[in-house]
Amino acid sequence: MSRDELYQQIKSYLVDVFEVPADKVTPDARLYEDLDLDSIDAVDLIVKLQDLTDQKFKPDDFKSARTVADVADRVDAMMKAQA
Amino acid sequence: MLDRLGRIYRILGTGFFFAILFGGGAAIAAIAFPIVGLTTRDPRLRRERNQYIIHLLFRSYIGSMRLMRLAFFDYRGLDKLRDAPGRMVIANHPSLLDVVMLMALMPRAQCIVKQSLWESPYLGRLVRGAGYISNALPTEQLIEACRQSIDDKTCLIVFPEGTRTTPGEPMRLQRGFANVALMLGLDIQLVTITCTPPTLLKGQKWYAIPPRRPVFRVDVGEMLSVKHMLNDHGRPLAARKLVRMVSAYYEDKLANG
Repeated sequence: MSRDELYQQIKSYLVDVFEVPADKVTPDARLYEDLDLDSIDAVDLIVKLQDLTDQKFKPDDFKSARTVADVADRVDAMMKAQA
Repeated sequence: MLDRLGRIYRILGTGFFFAILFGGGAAIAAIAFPIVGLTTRDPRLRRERNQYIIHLLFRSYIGSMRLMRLAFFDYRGLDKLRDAPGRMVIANHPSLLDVVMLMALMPRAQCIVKQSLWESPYLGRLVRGAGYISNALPTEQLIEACRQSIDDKTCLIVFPEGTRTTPGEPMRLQRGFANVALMLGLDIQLVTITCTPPTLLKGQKWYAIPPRRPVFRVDVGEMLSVKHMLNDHGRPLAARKLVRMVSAYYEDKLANG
């Protein structure tokens, strides 16, 4: 899965699962401040990404991720490290 | 003149009660908790006893405020609290006295506490010693602590606003309570608290007492069952829906009584 496909998939999760208005989801949108996610949502999102990529992530893997693009980058990097 | 005397009496009385709340809380944390700790090995039993001591402290606190006529307390639907153990009890949060009133009414209450209170130099020891739950815990530990509270058949008190309502602003609920309730399949007992005239609000000094003696009303209202809400939606969506339902409930309650 390419980095761009990952981003699109994360975007569709945010819209479908977390009720974020589609026009608010941009690469630079901050998860907590702009998209109104909370820490439980973050855990739920990580679980979704695990199901998607068949990998195991720890919440700490995403500690420094603040924006949607950060999340895509993190997942992309971890998939590449695994491959 | 009488009015003025009455006001001075209430300022002194309110100050006295604040001193007792903080002083008494600190004394219990420093004296009673260590005694319980020495005599009770089992952590669950220890937590239960410490929380019961706080219940007694708060009950006598409200009782003496009532006796000294510093405030009136108007309780409605209290019989519904008999079934509250093992449930989540949520309330709006207009005043500093809310948790004191709720814990005075429930002998076995667990509570999710905001981080600033957890670390408070005055009440922090009391809050930590009682074994309440910090809202800054990592998600999994927070859920586990809530599950424990329900398994122990305590009332799990949560103020979904996370802190006292900012006067003049609309109530804003956080979603944590909804996710916890859905994850654990809890029943939610809704409680509405009002104070007229308003006093002990967020950002208000304790001595800014109202012109009349305040009436605190605790109205134990509907019980919400959330289990069925997961039938049609994933939990994140269901939690958002639940937050909207509860917000609408409180908006209506606070507007129409």
